[in-house]
Amino acid sequence: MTVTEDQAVGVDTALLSVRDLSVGFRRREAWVPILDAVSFTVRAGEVVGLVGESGSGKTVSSLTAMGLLPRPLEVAGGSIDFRGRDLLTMDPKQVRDLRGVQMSMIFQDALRCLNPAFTVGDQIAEPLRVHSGMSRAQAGARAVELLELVEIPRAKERASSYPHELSGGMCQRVMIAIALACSPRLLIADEPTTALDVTVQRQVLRLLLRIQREMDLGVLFITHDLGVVAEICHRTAVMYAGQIVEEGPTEELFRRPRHPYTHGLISSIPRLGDAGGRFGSIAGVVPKAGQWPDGCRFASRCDHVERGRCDVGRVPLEPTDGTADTARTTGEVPQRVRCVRARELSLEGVG
Amino acid sequence: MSKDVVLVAEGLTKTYRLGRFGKRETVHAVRGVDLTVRRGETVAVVGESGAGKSTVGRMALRLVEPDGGRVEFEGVDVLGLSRTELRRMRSRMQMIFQDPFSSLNPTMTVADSVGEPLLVQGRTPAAERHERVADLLVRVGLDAEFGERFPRELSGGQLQRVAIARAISTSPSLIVCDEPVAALDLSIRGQVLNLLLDLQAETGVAYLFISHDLSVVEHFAHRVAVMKGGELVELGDTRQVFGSPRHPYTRSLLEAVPRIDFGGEGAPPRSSAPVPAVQPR
Repeated sequence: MTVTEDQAVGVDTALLSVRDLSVGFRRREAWVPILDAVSFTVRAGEVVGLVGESGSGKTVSSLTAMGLLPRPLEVAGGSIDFRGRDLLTMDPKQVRDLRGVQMSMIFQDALRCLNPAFTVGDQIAEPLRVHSGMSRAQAGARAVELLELVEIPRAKERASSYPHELSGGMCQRVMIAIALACSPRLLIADEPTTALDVTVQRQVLRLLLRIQREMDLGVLFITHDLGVVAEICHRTAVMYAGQIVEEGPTEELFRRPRHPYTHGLISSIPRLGDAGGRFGSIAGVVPKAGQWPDGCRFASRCDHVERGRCDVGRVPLEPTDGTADTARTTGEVPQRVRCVRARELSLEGVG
Repeated sequence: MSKDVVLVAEGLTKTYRLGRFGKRETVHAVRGVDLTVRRGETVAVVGESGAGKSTVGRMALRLVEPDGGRVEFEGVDVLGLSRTELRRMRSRMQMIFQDPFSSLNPTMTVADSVGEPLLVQGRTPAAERHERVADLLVRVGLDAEFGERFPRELSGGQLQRVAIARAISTSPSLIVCDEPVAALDLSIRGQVLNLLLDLQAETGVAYLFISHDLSVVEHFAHRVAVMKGGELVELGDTRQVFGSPRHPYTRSLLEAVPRIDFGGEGAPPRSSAPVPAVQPR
């Protein structure tokens, strides 16, 4: 059983398959890495969570996948397969034809992503007219249907509203309607509910999940909120300092974290129901890009660090005990961890 | 007023006028809020955006002038104070903001920022002040050499420690904390909250803790005030409010918090076995 074999299993049913993606930028003469050989897969009908703290590389991963990498960032290696075609080697014009049609994206700040000068109906109709060649009237009618799909009351009237007339939650629903206009296969959601109040967040998450099931969408859900991940993601990948340090089925990851960083994050969540006492936290700070140490990048903050083993060489992302075999029989992507001591450690999870 | 009470707010009200071109509208940002904070106590104000929680915090320090009501701080009627008197009072009441990047002056060194309240207070000689700043930085878990750095050289968590050092420099009896950890990463959040807990245990400072994060509040506050649309809808001991909320709004807030309880009730259905049934080709 080799790693390559079960990767092949993942690729087979994959919608989006990111392999060994490395991204960085040039500062004077030096190359500063931002992503270091990041690999993950999103299959149809599957919600995959990408979690990590600020600067861990989760947003850069998603922007690269959409072909929206901002300057001065560059791709240094790897591949991004979308339904069997590598976006990185494809003609930029073809990527543009995919974007917004087969794959689309929603962002954190919906109000800022909408154009204040056009009605929301026009903005939903725009991708339909550009990509599907609908007439103004057809696109307008479809826009109203889409507003109904995202559960906006009085959709017909709302279509002629301007973004500033809508609340934050409503704007995010409009963004979702725009993203879904051309019936994409993949939706990348980058912190879509972070700016919303909890009660509104709950409604938007429910809506996203309903639509995800109805359309059999693959969703890459980027967030720093582990509570949200636990509720909606089938699988989760945890990023730290430009690498994926652990990935696996969400419940397994929370119940039995294998990486000390995942464990630290889980212990840092104050949970409703157990009041009082001190807060869990992880000592130290995240190392900055360009200052990543040899060996494990989490070593300086880790309680289980062992000098001579953790701080040398390159720590691979490996299937955890037993999961590789199960994975082969079920066609499931195995749980993987990037820690040399993963087999020796027994870390406490949730529940 | 009893000696162990730091802050009493009664009937706090703030209205803003909106609209132009003849269409005038009065909006109540805060309406008739009563709050008491005792020495060494943490009272949390929770609610969603626009509920008026920040306005309450600011009115408690008279950073925003209330339109109605009364604020008494350590037995003194704050709204009746002259500018000079208010300034003297301010060293006993401090504030920590959400975003330490914008609440600290980017052109001042960390040491100058931390020492500024003492400088303004004008009672501490320069030499003593420098020593005190170094002590304060160590107290909040930073090296004394951080004093020579500028805010841009520090991370968010470190900057929030600096903001805390500055707030405790004049030994206040009340600190209004407006979403002090909302902008921080999860692994850092606990560090800062634990620091605030330690400082309270040590100095008996009281916190008026404004937050939208109910799980943090449950751990952190002794009492909780729930606001909705400018009004206080529920106030009580944290345990009681979280354990058996009386107001339907409090209940709906608590229910909306994302939970990590696999297989629990109420959570939306989630399959641990994914559904890659459809081949997308």
